[in-house]
Amino acid sequence: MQNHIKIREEDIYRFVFSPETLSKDKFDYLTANRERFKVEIALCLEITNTSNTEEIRSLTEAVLQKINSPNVIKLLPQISKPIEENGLKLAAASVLKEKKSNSMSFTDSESKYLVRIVKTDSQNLLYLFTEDKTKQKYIIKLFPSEVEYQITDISQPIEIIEEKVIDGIVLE
Amino acid sequence: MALLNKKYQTDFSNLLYLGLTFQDFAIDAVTPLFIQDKSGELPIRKALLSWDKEINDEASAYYFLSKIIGNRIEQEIARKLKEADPFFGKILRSVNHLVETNRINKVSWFGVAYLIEKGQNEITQKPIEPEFIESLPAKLFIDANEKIISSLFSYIKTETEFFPVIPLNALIRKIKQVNGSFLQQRSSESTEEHFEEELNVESVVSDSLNAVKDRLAKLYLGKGKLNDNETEVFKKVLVELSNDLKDGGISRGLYEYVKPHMIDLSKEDFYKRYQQTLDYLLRLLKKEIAVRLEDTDR
Repeated sequence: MQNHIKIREEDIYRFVFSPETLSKDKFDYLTANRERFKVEIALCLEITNTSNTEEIRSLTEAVLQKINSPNVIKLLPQISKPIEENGLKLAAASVLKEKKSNSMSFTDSESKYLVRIVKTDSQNLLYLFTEDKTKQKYIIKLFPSEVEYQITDISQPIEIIEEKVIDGIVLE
Repeated sequence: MALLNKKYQTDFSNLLYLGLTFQDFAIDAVTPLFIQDKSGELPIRKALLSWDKEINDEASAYYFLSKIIGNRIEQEIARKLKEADPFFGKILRSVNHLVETNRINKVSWFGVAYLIEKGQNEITQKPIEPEFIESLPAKLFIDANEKIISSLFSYIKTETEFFPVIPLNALIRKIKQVNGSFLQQRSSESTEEHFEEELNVESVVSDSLNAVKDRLAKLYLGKGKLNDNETEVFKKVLVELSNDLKDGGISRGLYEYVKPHMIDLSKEDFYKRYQQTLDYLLRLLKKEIAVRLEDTDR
């Protein structure tokens, strides 16, 4: 490799967006070697050229919608309240207990959606229950693995690959 | 979008079967930056607070954003490639082991992960483009992964005018393509001398395929969810999927695999009747392969 002047990623951004802040030797070098860095320079230019296009506006809109969407439903593991009698906690009906019985339930904060994962000897089945019958198709994302499944008919369970841990589910 | 278009065309072609577009992928990659994490913080804010350079003009602002978004895209692509192709995951684990044990370092350049020699932590000249790896002679990739990487550093230094770094995903694809049926198997016990032996991919895939076929017969044919004809088609499709997984990866939608065996099947019917089952069986096949490959890590 020839003994070139040092050019870092940031220098190329400076060359394209704020050339006045780049040292003269780097500016001269990049000017003389535009061809060598054409992919990087083109990428920087594309960022400016596309930053106000219809495509980027619609992508921004989609990201904003996804962040604030009421259609994104977060479900957390359902933990049953322990039964208390005379101040003593009796059988703790907890997630742990549910795991032992090979099923786990997840609900949203308003308890409008319930996902139940049932593990049998041969299958892991995921059921989605909701009173909202207007929608049949959901994307189900399991956390922390971020594995996604699609359910197209909520009257039937879907088979899923066993996960070591599931600490949350997102429905879209 | 600019990063995806310019830097991830090849990686993305291995994910087309998922039915994702560049737009979907960009949205999935960027959105988590703006959603509070478990500690209630916005990841984009965290990144800004831990950024050790000044942001005081257009260049530094674009640089910061491109770096953060580039990292997110790189993470998301690696995650999806691992999920889509257990062999890719196997080689990636082996290379990451070299990074974790400080035998090489990992850096990024315009959103692409590169391997860099031990003792260095930044790219200070033009690196090779990922496509360059494709054009290199196959003989450079037939060895233990650590030796391949070391030879590539030497090759880039002596034979090219590029900065000596290696694009990670392109390297993994090339190792897989050159070694085909026999991948190098890493022994996690060795930290000094790098011990590797060949792993027979054919037998891993064949055993995994048989496990999935057993399940298909027992749980789908046996329980009347699929008839004899449908089961036979699924078996053929699973063989084709396993062959593609071994070779270049799955590059078409599942409907495209089934259609030649069921000429009259419409896309709509496929999604209604078979998509969920085939999607599950493919995930199972990948999991069976991944488990067998992970066993060889031990």
